Amino acid sequence: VNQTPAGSQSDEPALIERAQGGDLNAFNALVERYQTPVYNICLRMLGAPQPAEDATQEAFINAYRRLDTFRGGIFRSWLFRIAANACYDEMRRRKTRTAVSLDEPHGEDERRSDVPDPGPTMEQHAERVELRGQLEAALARLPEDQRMAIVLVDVQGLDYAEVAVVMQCSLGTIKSRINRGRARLRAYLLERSELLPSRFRPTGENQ
Amino acid sequence: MSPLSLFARHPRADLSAFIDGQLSQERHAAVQTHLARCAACQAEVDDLIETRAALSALPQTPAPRSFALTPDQIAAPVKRRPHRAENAPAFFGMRIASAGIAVALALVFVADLGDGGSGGNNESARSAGEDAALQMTSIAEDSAGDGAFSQGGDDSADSGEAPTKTEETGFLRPGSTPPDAPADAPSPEAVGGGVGGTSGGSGGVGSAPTPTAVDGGPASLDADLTSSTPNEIAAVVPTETLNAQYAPTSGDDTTADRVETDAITSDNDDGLSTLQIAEIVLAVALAVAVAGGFLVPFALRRIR
Repeated sequence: VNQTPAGSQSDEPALIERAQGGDLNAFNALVERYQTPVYNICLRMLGAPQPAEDATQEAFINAYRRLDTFRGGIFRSWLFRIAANACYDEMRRRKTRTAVSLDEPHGEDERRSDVPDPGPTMEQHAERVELRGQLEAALARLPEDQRMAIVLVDVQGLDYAEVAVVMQCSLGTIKSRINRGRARLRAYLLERSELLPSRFRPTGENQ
Repeated sequence: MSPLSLFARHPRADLSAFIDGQLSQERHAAVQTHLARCAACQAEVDDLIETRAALSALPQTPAPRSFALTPDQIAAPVKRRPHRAENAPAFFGMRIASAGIAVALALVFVADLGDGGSGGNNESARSAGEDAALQMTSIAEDSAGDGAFSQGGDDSADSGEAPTKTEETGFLRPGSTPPDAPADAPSPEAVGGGVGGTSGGSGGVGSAPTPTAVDGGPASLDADLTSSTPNEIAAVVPTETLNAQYAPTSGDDTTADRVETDAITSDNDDGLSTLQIAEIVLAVALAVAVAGGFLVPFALRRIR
């Protein structure tokens, strides 16, 4: 899940510098590098492909416009912060429209079929797909800040410190958001335990 | 940290940070000690680990397209148009709301002007009002009679009480004040009779016509045909109605009160000036509402 750690590619600082000088090609090289994690953050936050696409595009446009505000540090964190803000903007916009319900995940079927599931048996495969659907529904019900923290830590694999930079709050706040978010997800999954793999059934043995 | 205190408080708030290795060494060890003895917290930790595992097993979706920017994407200003369009309903709503307030204020203002706010004419206006009130009362008599008929026709008893009740509903009509929920609410039949009677007269009592009110019409017609004791009732009703009209003490007689007090204040300049002040205040409020209705949306739009 975790991408190549930020800055590990030696040409990144040079690309940033050239992009800051107005080199669109250099910036687009950075876009290609980060568009998948950015899109996935947006997708998990917004729950549907189309808004995720919109937010991703807006994030990169905003990033280009604000390149001068990046003064060192981890580029990925700075970029994710802009992406997070694009997500919040998009959610606010959707809320006023109230057209799309975040509760029903969209376009999941394509995604599920995309990914080859390594489950050995059909039953396990079905359970896993079911669990994923439940998890996405549960994520969509989380408060936005908890969802963002969970997405960044558990889905994108960032550590608390980087999430604190992305979300611009203290480590303690991140810790509490992660804890409350996970506790809610767990409660949600346990409520639907009959749909889930045996490990989530209260009677089931923990592996 | 003593083992006792560890047991006293479950470290539930730290369990996620614990499995993520984000606690200080000391705290981590303390939680570990607690978990060794607390099955509930250990079970929660297991669930959290599985939740985390399920989350990190969520597949990373490949970007559906390239998000590389084109030159015109960075040339065009950030699309703010849809944003503004969304707010249009809100602005429109504000305009409607303030326009509604303005209209309401205008109505109050006009009503107040017409209602004897105009200095010297107050006396004549008032007396005209009284004339109208008397006229209305005569209509009320009729309706009261009808009501009483219906009462008499239907029940044939209680003909003594029925007229007073209907007289009350009739009494409320002369004044412009709506009947604000009579304390001694007339019995349904009485209201029905009154309303049924007014169908031939003017306007109607403000209270919503109840099913019995609908019945009142035909009932009174029946009563007319059967004509139990029309003269007796007609003799009773007018005097009672007139008494009620000029007795400020009876029931919820806001009208009677107003007639009296206004008659006094019409001789008194202070009363008039307060009226005028009230009108000026209303006019200013009206102007502010109208100006606000147009300016506030623009001001808000500028803020964005």
